[in-house]
Amino acid sequence: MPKAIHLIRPIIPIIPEVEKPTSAIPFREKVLWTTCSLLIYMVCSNLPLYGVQRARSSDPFYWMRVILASNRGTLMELGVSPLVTTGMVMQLLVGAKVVDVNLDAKEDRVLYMAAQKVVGLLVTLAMAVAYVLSGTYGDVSAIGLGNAILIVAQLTAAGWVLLMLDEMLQRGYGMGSGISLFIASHVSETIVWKAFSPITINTGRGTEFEGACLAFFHLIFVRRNKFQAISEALLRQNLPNLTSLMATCLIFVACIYMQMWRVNLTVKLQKARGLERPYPIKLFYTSNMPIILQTAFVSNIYFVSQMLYNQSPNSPFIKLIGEWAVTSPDSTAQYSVPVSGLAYYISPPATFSVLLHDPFHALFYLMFTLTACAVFGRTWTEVSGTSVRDVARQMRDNQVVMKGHRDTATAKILSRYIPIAATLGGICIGLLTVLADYLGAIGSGTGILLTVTIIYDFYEAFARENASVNSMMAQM
Amino acid sequence: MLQYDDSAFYFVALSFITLYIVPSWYSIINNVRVALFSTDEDIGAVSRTSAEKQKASELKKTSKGLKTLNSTGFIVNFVLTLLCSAIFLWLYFSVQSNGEVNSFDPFTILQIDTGAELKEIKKAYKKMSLRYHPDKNPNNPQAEATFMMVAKAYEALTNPVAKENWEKYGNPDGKQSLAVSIGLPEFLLNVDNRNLVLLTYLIVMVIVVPCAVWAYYSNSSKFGEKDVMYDSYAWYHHNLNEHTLTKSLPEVLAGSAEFRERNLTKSQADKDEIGKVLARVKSHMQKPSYNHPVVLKGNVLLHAHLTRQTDVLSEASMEDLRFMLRYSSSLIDAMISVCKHQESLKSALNCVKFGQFVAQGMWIKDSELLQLPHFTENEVGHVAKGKPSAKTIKEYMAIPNESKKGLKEFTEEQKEDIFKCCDILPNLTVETKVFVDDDEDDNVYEGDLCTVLVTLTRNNVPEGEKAGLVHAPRFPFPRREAWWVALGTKEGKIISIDKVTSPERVVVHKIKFLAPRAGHYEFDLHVLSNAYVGFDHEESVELTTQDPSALPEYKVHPDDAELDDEPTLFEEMMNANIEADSDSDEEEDSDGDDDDESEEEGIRELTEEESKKRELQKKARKKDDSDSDDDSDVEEVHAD
Repeated sequence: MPKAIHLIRPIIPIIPEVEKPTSAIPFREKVLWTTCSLLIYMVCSNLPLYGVQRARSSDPFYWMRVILASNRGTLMELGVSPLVTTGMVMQLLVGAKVVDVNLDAKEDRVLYMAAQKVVGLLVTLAMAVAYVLSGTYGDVSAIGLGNAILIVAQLTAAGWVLLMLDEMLQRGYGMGSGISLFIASHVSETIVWKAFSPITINTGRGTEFEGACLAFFHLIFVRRNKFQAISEALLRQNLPNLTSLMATCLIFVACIYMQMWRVNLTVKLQKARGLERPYPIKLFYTSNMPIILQTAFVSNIYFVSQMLYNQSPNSPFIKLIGEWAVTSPDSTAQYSVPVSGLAYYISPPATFSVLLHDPFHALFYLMFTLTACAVFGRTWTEVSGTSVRDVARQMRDNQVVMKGHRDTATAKILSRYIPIAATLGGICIGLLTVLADYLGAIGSGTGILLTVTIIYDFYEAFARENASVNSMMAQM
Repeated sequence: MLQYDDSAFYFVALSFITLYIVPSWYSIINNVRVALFSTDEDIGAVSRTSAEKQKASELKKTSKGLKTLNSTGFIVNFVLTLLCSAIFLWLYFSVQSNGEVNSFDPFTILQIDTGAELKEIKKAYKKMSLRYHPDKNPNNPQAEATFMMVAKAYEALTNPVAKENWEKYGNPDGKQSLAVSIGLPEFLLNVDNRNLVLLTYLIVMVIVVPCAVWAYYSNSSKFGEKDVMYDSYAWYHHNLNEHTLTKSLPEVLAGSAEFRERNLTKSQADKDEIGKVLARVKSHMQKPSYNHPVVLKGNVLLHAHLTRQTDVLSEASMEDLRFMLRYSSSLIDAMISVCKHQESLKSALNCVKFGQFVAQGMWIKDSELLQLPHFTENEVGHVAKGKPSAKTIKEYMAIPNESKKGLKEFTEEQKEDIFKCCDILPNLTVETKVFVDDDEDDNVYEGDLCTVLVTLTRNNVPEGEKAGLVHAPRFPFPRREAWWVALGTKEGKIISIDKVTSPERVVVHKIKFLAPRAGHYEFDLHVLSNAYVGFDHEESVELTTQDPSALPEYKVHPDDAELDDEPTLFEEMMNANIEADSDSDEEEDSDGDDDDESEEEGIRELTEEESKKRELQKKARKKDDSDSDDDSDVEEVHAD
């Protein structure tokens, strides 16, 4: 019988596609293309949408902005969410064998890619429509049908551009995937801005700089009592302070250090004796996936809870899931935060004082995050085809065996490491995230973790690139 | 609308300038320190023999002292830093006088210590209010304002409501409206300047930035591997082939793209000088195949160096020659890599030998003994005729110091130099071993990746020490000792050629290549110094490859073979659900039950999956039986 995926065949010719490069792209050009797409993304994430009513409503998605690389009220309102959603949906469908596709066959692979793109285009459109209909930019009747259509068009077009950029990068014109690149740049932008923002705020206490570094210099130059100046720069509560900045650096360093923990297994190819390859199993075996999944999971709980709460704020059952309130009006950005119920307990404590005030919350949050990360880490190996079973099967099919373990099954050796690495790695990632949140690191724990892992992946790709060039030269 | 704020901009500028000048001053001071106080070893100006003394003092002259800082980058940075520091100071003092942060601190206003007692506060208030009371200071607005502030400060410290307001919002009157501005100069927003600002922006973004990128890119794209120009590589490709001899190599080096601008003869005097030198070196020179003045000049200068006749060169030509010699090492390496690409062992070895001659300043027909300090043709003749006689440098080194010939006309010090030099000259032993890096059987079979392990031992270097710089008094730059290890077939094809640069006493170098078809082979292993003439090793490496059919077949471990039967996590979960739904224990049955309940789609999916699984199992079994396997999917997974 024809597979479901074959239904996509008739529309392949009309979907936009990035052509594969005919020859290998030199490294210099890769950097060029990556920078270009980064620039386009940056411009998009700073261009305000046309036709939007600036409602002072709270931002329901502030939690997801970090991992979705989205900016409120700009062309990048959707961020990479269409990409991520599409990727996850397709992977789940394939992983659960709902869509049967043999990724080893070239034809199926082409069809699968096309299907993914079609789903991506549709998801973007659907999300844009959903955003406008849900009244994020004001009631549809208030902004008018014309404006509503215009907003949908802007969001969809920007989303499609992003989709194409991602495809271009993945086709070998750039380094790594677009999703990671955009997320990393988004977080880095936040961190740099929080450190060097030239915005000044005067609340009657005197002019203060928003950026932590600038504030430090400002206070040092202005205050007569230098000691007081330094302590204020380090510890001020209302705006980003130097402690957060240092915490951010600390988490960066810790994360990079832990990235290097790995078990180096050696494999040998049975067909070409003497050819050995290291097969490292990293502690962060699943990279940043546990934290992405955990964040997505939490965001969904938030989303549902918030929706329910807005519908009927007084139902006790709904209160059990989550009670929401808008943050105090004097802070610069307004968004609703959970104040009790399940949603409250799975949210990170906002500041250190809050943590001391409600230690049970902190403990619950810690336990929840660690457990969720461990479970997601373990599950992800199954979904992404990196589980013991999949890896051992690939090795067997390619006649690759572990060096020094002739009489032991490959699967048995791998099962000594992979499940532990996946689970423990998930826990470590979760722990770092929690630590970052407790220390008040800039850009949120999840954001920093994502950025570091992404940057490290880039670095590894870069090192590999160099190594392959060198070995090519060596063979010449 | 964001307000632009000049005074805030001062602070922004101040902060960024600080961020620039602090590391910049550090690097400037560090550079100066290195220029003034670096030791002789750091710049490679060692003088172990008196022959090296002149080279060391030259090196000290050129790479020490303040004039080494005379580079464009350093000067630009220095001027920029000075400028920024001046701006910094100016900004700092102007900010000090007017940029007081207008924060409300009641303790400062009352001129008491922070956290003073209530009694003290009251006392201070009374004193201050008496002094600044408007009745006492008529027509003095300054005093009146101060009086108001004092009253406010007193209130903030005594009235609980005002105190709370002050602590929370910084103002005893309660929350003030939030004023947000941005630290950028106000003139940017001025309507009159709008066109100018836009124009500047446009010029910078549209013209300057792309031009800068283009300039950088076009410059960097001229250089290939190891910072050697692509044009040089092209020139070498054109001029080197398997018949290239050492004596034609100076011309090849002289034509490198790096020298083309510098070696252009500009004046008639230049040309005359080249003609004069050419007449002197012509007898040692191969007939030039290029008559281009640039190539000819380089060629002549190099020959002057190789035949030790640099004393006839003018100061300018000497500079040009030094410039060529400075780049010669990396360019000769590039020539060798071109030979490697052409797979020609002989020309590669010729290039290495040419490098040796350049380092020692001698030429093909010269005796190896000329490497020793103070030696001339005269002494070489004595050594050759003497008893014990020596033709090669190795033989001469083997002779005990007291019976070495040819030293009659030397002073004690010069003799000492020669003995010292004999200690510095390398004494290398080479061992080789061929094997396959495998944990079961290290015999070589066809198609294996076999390893030639080359162990170099420097016998003249004491245990635990490292090889120092090369003794090359005629080469004006410090040079590190390295060995070229080349493996080639008897037909002269290169299998591998690498520069082994490690200065350790014992160096291990691995050459890996795919074993050829079953049979007996002999390869040539050459180990050549990068700077000394006459220390080349040549060895024969034997390799016997066996037929791979003797190897045991690859067997899948039984546990691994069953991998396909193991359910995935999802299947496990699904099965768990199914089992929970139905009472039957057997899976087949439960599937059947499930099928009845689910839609058509579900049945097809499941059955198809089953059949696919069976197919896979069959395939796996087949693989066990026959050793024929498809190559198509091999490199996919573990190629990374």
